[in-house]
Amino acid sequence: MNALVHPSAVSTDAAEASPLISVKGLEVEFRTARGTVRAVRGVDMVLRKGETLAVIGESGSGKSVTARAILGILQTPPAYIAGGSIQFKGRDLLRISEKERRSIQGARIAMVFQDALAALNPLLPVGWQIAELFKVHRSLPMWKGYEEAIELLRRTGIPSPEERVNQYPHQFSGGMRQRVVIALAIALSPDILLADEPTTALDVTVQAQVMHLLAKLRSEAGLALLLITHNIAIAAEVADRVAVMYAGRVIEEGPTADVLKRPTHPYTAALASLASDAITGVQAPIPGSPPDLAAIPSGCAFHPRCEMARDVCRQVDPALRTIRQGQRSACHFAEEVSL
Amino acid sequence: MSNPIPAPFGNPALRAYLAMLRRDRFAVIAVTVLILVLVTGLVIAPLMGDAAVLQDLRARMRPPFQLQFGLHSLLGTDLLGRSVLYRLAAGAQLSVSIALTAAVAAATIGTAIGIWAGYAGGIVEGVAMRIADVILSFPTLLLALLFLYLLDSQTGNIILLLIIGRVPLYIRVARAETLETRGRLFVDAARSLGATSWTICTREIAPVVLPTILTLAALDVGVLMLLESGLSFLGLGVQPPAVSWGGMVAEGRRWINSAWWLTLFPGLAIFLTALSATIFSNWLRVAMDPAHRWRLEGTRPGAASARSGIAS
Amino acid sequence: MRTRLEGESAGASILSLRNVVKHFGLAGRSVLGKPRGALQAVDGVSLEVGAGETLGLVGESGCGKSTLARLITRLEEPTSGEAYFGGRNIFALSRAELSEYRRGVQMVFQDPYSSLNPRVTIGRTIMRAWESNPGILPRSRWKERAGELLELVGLPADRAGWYPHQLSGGQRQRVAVARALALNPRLVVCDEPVSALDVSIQAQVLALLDDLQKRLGVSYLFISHDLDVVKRIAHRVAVMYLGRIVEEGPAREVFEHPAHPYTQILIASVPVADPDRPRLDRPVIQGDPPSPTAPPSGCRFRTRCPRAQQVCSEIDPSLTMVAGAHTAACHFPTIDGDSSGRALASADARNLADLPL
Repeated sequence: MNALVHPSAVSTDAAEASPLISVKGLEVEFRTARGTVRAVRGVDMVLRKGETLAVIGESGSGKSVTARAILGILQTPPAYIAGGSIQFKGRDLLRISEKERRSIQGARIAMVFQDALAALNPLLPVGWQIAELFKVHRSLPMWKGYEEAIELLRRTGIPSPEERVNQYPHQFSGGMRQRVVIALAIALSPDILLADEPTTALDVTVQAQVMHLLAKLRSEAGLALLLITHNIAIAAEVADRVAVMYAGRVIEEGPTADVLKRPTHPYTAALASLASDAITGVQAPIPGSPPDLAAIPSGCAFHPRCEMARDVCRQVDPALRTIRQGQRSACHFAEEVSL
Repeated sequence: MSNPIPAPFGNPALRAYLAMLRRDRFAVIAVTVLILVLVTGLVIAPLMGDAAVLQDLRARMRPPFQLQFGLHSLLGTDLLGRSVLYRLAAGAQLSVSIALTAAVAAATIGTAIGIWAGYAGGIVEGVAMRIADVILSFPTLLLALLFLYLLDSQTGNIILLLIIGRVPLYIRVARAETLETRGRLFVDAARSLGATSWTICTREIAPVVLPTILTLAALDVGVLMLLESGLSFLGLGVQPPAVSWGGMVAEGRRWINSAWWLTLFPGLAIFLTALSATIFSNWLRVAMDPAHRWRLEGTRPGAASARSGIAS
Repeated sequence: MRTRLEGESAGASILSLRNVVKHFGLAGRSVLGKPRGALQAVDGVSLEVGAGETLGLVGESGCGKSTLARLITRLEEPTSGEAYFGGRNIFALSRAELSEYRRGVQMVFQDPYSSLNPRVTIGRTIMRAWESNPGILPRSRWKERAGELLELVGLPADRAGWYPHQLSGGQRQRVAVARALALNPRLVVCDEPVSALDVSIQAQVLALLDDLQKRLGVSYLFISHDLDVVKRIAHRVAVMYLGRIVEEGPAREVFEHPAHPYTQILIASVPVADPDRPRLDRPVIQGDPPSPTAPPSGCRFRTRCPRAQQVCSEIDPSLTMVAGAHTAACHFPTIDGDSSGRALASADARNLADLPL
C-alpha cells in the first residue's frame, strides 16, 4: 500500500496559500412554470491551491448547483445566477465571455460526474473522447491525442490501456468507467477538480479504489479538489476542510477534524453522529425531511427539525460567523452544540 | 398541507375537472365548439326532418348574409336551392357519429389487443404486431378504394373501414406503453400481492396507458372527420341524399370561384371541429395526469412541508 | 448491533432455503454454434430466517441478492433447489397454496419512485392487497384498515387520497412498507429499502422497521450493499459473492471477526468517519469481479483474494463452521486472528499433505 501524504503536511501549506477560487454570496434561482425556487441562497466558499474541500449535504442542499455554477455548466433557462461572484485567477467566472469560459472548462477547472454513463458519449470510443479534449484545447492532432489518452488511462489504473483506448463506454465496468471519467477530467492538468458524488453509484470496494485513485492523483499533481458528497466518512478520509450545506446555504465550515469532532451546528452534529461507529441499533436523530426549496421555512431553515430550536430561530436567519479559529457556523446557539 | 382536491380514495370528482377546465381558456372554447357540434349532430339534426334536402329552385345560388331571405339562406344556398346552414347541421350528424363511433371502437379494440400483446408477449405479441403492420402498410386510400369497391358505401361500412384503418395505431401505442410499464416495480409489487394477469392489465397497466390513449383518441376524432371528408370528397363516402361535410365540399368545388360559400362553410366546420378536438385532447392529457394536474389547478404541489415537523 | 440472539437461534426458523439455484440462460449461440452459457445469478444458496429476527444479506452488485429476493417472493422461478415456509416447499405450490404463501411473505422494493403506481392513490395501492386476496378482510373494512396502516407507518390517515408524486422518497417508502404489511405477513423481504434515500431519512425508515418488528414480531430479510445500514438493523448477516454465500453468522461476530477474506476486504473498504485516523490506508481490492457467466474454478473469490493458494483453484470450499453459529466458505478463514487455514474441514483429504500451509 502506498504511503500517502499525511493531510496535515498539505494543509499547513495550503493555509498560507491564497485562495484559488473564492465564491462570494452566490445565489442561483430556478425559474419554472411552478414558480421560482432559490436553490443557492448566498454561499461563500474558498478553495486554496492543493487543498481538498468536501461539500457535504443531502438532497436539496444546493451543493451540486454550486459546483455547476463554478464550472459554468448550469442550464439557463431554467437556472439563473441571481447574485454573487466567483473569483478565479483574477477573473469573475460569472461575468466572463462565453469564449473565455470555454477555454477554462476542462482545462483549468474540470469535473468528475457521478454518473459515468451519462457523462460519456456512448457512441464514441473513450480514446476519441479524450483525444478530442487535446485537439480542442491544445490543438494537438488526434493521433497525438490518442497517445496522451493511453498514458492517461494507464495513470488512472486501467489495465491494457493500449487496447482499451479503442473501446466504448459500455464495455467498461462501473468502476473502470469512473476511471475513464477521471482521466478525462485530469487530461489537461487542471488547477481544480470538482468531483460531484464520484463514488455514490459504485459498490463499496470500487468506491475505495476510486477514492484511492483520486487521492493519489491529487497529491501527484498538487490539484485542488472540491469533493461533493453526502457521505461524511468519505469526506473525513480525504478532505482538509469541510463545508456543510443545508437548503441552499453553508451552515458550517472549517477544518475536517474540528467540524466532525467538535461540530458547532446541530445539523452537522446529527449527521456526524449518524456516521459514527458509535451508533448501535436504530436511532433517528433528525426528524422531518429536507425542506421543499419552494417553501423554505422562515428564520433558520433547519429550525423545524432542530431539537435546540427556540423562538429566535423561527424569526431570524443566522449568519455564518466565526466560532473558533478557522471554524464558522450559522447557528444562534453554536456554542451549545455538542456531539 | 392539504390536498387541494380533497377526495380520498379516488379520482377528482367531476366538479374538479370542470374547475380545471375553467383555467384553460382555449380548452373552454374548444369544448364549447365540440359540444355545439355534438348537440347539433345528435339532437338538432334529427329534428330537422328533411329541411336539408328541400330543394327550392327559386332560391338557387344565393350568397350568404342576405338577411332579407331569413334563416334558410343565412349561409347561402346551393345549386338546387338547398340551405347551406341546414345542410351543415345535417352533415354534423353524420360526420360526428361516424368519427366518434370509429374513434371509440378503434381505441377500445386496439388498446385491448395492444395491452394483451405487450403483457403476454410471445406468439400473441407477434401475431398482433404483424396484423398491425399489414394494415399499416396499405395506403389508406387504397384500402378505402378496395374496401368500398367490394362493399357499398354504406355508413356502416365506412365506419368499419375507418376502424380497421386506425386500430393498428392503438395497438402499437398500447403495446409500447405496456412494455415500458411492465418492467416497473409497482407491477412486480402487484404480482407479489397475488394479482392475476387480468388484474394487472386492467388495474395497473391500463390506468397508466389510458391517458395517452385518450389523448390520441380525442385527436383521432378530428383526424377521422378529415378522413371521412376526404372519402366523401372523392365520392367514396356517404352517397347522396345523405349529407356530410366532405360531400358538401366536394359538390361545391366546381363553383369555388363564384359560389365560394358552398365550400367555405363546410370546410370551416371541418377545420374548427378538428382543431377543437386537438385542443381538447391536449387539455385532457394534462388533466388526467396526477403529476401534471397542478398546471390546471393553480396551486403548487410538493412533498409535505417540513414546517409542521411531521416525521416523513 | 443487535445483542439479542447472539449465537442462539431465534426460535423457530420460518424460512429455510436449501441449495437454491437460478441460472439465466443466455439467448443465441456463439460464433461457433455452441449454445452460450448461463448467467449463474444464484448458485446454490442455503439460508435460514428465524421468527422475529432480521437476517441481513450483503453483497455488491451482481452477487445475486436481488435475484434471490425475487425467487423468494416467487417473482422468478428457480432452476433448482427448495425453500420451506410453513412446512411446504414454496417452489412447488398449488395455486391456492401460492395465494396463502403470498400472505405470509411480502416485499418492500428498492426504488420508492417506481414501486408505487403513479396513477393510483396511495390508499388504493394499499387496498390492492385485499383486492387480490379476497376473504382476508371484508370490503367494508378496507378503507379503515388502510388508514390504520398509514398511521402505523407514521403517515396521517387522511393522506390516503394522495398520489405518490405528492410524497417525498421517505414517505413513499413508508407507503411501500404499509402495503407490504397489509396482508399481515410473517416475513418481509426488504430489497435495498433505504438506498435511494438521504442519510437522515434512512435513519427514520430504519427506526420504523425496527419498531414494527418489535410490535408485530415480523421477520426481515434485509438486503443491502450498505454495510453501515445492515450493521444497525440485522441480528444475523450473510455475505454473498457471485451467487454464493461466503460467510454467515451473528451480526456482531461477522462484523467484528470476519473470517472470509472477501468479508474482510468489504468491511475494510467502508470509509470511517474519523478524521484522525491515517487516511486511505485501507486495503484496496484488486480488479473487477469475474463475470457471472464464467465463474472461476474452485473458489470463486480466488482471482481477487490476497490469500489464494493452489488448493483454492482446485477445490470449491463449502460453508463450514468457524466459531459457534459463524460459518465461512474458505480454505484459509481467519480464526482468532490466524489465517493459516484449517486444512481438513472442507477440502478433500487426499493430497493435502503436499499442500503448503
